[in-house]
Amino acid sequence: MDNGASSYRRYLDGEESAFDDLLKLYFDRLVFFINKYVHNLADAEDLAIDSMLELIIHPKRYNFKVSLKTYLFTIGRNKALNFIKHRNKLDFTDFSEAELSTEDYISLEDSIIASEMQKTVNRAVNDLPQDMGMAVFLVYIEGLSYEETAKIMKKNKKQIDNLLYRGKAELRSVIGKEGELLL
Amino acid sequence: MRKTQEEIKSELIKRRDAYYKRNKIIKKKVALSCISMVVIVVIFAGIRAIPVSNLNNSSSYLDTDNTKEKNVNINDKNTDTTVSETTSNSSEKNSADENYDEYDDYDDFDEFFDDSYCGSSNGFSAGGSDNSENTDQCISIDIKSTDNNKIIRQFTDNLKIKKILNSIDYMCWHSTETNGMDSPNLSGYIITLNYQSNYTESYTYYENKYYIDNYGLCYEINRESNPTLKEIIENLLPD
Repeated sequence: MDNGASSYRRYLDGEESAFDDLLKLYFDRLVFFINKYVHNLADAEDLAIDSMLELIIHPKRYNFKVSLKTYLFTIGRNKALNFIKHRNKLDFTDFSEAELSTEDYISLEDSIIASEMQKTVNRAVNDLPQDMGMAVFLVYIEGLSYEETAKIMKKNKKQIDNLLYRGKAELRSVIGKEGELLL
Repeated sequence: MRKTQEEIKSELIKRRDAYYKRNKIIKKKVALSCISMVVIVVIFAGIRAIPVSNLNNSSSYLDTDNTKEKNVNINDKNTDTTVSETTSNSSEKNSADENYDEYDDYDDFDEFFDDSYCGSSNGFSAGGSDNSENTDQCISIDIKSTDNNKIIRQFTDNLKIKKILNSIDYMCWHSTETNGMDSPNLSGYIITLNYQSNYTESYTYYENKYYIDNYGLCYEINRESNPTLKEIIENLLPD
């Protein structure tokens, strides 16, 4: 059982403060991940809160067989895709939040990605096709396994392998051989 | 500015409460819908039940139909006393009614007697008008087959007796002693009136409306009757 799962177990056993640990562990990463889909930090934050809320209102849905991070990222992806679908029907932009998101993105990135080289890769990932970039992000920046990545992206392991292979080739052309060596 | 952890927590609590509130309202609505559905179903079931119960009350129509289905040809002598009575509601039968042999042939069994015979000074008076016992009220009517002289129906209810007598148009009288069996080759019915004073009178109705008696007396009373004796007896059959 990973840290997140054990914290969640403690929360389910009645320890309210354990949820703070969950927020510390996953919230920023979740926002960062969702932002790769919605490209709006305020929306990403909102959707991340909704994803965390699932842990509270549906406590029996998580079976402790996968890591809590995988579970949360799967929820986050579903919510992000639903949000995009609805946003396309009713498109609006809150300028204050949009402004806010640009200046906060860097601090969020700093809190999640420590090294400059990884930040370089992360920015390059944004230029890749969505699935490809997401596979590279989850495996090489978030450090998830192929299986966990496949679960979050609703693909099989072979598809993730192919996406990563092609992603590396794309990154080579974007950031050069040095960047590829980081992967 | 991004939300702090405290703000995120309060936002989570707010959304959680909103979710539970919404959930509660939805559950209430679902419960109300279910109750409404049940009420609608009960109302419809009640509406459906009314005509059915009305039909059940009009048992005479059903009884008539059942009886018609059971009719057999009067000319077929082998059928007497063999047709089984399957009608239900035995609580309405009295003990005398249960003693008859099943012989459910009422073809041509109409227009036989004068009305108000028992205890009435009106109409036809058989058996001799000077017999004071004739004025006694009938206590029962037996209907027998001339083939074997077995009772196929017995009515003891005064109202039923009166109904039968009121519907009879033709009759021939026979003495009790000989029972009017002067023409044994003819198939028909003997209607016996049983009086309070143990005095009985029998009347015979033969097929093809051929009437005969010991004394050569045959009374034919022409009276337009509706319903016919057959219909009356069918309606008086036990359920």
